[in-house]
Amino acid sequence: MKARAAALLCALCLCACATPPPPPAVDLASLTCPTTPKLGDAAPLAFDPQKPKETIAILDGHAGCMDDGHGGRSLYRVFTLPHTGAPYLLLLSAPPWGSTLLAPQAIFLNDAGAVKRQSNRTDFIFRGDALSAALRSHPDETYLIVASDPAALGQAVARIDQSFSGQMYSAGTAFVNVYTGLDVTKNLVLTPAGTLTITTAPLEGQK
Amino acid sequence: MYASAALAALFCLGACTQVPLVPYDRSVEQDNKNIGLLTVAWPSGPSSVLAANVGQSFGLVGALVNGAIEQNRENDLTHMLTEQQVDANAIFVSSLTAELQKEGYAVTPVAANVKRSDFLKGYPVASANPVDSYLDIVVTNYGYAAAGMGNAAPYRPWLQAKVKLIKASTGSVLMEDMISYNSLFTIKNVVTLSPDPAYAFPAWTDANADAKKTADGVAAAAAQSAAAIADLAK
Repeated sequence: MKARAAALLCALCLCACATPPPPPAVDLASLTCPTTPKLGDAAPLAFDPQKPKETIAILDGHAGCMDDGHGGRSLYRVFTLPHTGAPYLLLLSAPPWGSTLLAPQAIFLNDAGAVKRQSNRTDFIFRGDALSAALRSHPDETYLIVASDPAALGQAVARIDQSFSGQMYSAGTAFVNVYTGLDVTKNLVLTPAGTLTITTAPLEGQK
Repeated sequence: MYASAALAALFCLGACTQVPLVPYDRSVEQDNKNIGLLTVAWPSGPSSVLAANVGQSFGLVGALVNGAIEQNRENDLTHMLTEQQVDANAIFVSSLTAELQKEGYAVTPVAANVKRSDFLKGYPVASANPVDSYLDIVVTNYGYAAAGMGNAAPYRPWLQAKVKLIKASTGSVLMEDMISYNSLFTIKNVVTLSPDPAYAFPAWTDANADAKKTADGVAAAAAQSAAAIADLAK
């Protein structure tokens, strides 16, 4: 019993003290990058008509690599889009990973693999601390490629984040709320590797 | 006092609310050329929030003392804006109109109650105004906010707004979103604009000492927030 308690305490301590792993470092120059993506590797995107569903794409050394034909290389993952009777929300969010941030782009293809739509730099804006694009699905699109944007790599992004939190402390029968505020300037660099969360959700207020 | 209500609303938003998100798809809504801009709902005065303050830890008495200090800051800010002839509402509306026109829209002002605290419950029938859609914007707070006390958490300009674009002919929601210029809380999925670092005051006395810069900060927040809203309709 004591051993289990000690193990639990140790695990708790590890959880509390563990630092997140460093962002993946990928040497794009060393990868083999064809000019067309492998659509056969597409994974289905989760969708629920009642509530938001999230799929996480990790762009690291295990992701695909493609070349835009002009020397611009991107890591990518490919997904098959859910086919529904009505348009739905696609929210693509790249959160910071350490001091790096994925330079994201989205490419939509039809079932023949032809590009139907491609995000541009201004489609991605900050929502919370994540670089995000909110888009509607189109019925003629079958595949979604989430990739790093070679044109944005290495760019610096500075963000001022103010945050505020409260914590309740007890001293016997008395309780005291202590509030703390933080004002932090985050300096991030756009990189080819990182994570991107793809949220699908039904659209509200449609008639 | 505006700040206390604003802070309570923010707490709720940050802790328990998922704001609706409906992105605009201009490629589908090509007939939406004339936007009816409803009178923007606007707070009756600016806020000056000190999010983490000593008074919060001392119950009702602390809250009353903090409320009085907040009221003084808000009076100062109102006075500075008046003195510097900065009308944040007018700047917001003119910037928004100009940015929408740059995007190729015609913008038609449509009268609505400026004091409403939420989106309209219903919208004028399509034949009442020659517009394709109604843009309903509720600015919930504007002014300054500091996360805490001291040099490390300065007062910075602050503005929050929720936005809805309604198709006039059907009442469908073409777009719904929320923006926060200098968010004190990370609210999921809300467009978050980083405040302009040029406008930062370590203490409220510093803001009081430079009324022009303080007022310019409010103007910048209004203009940049308006531009961000127009970007949502690209």
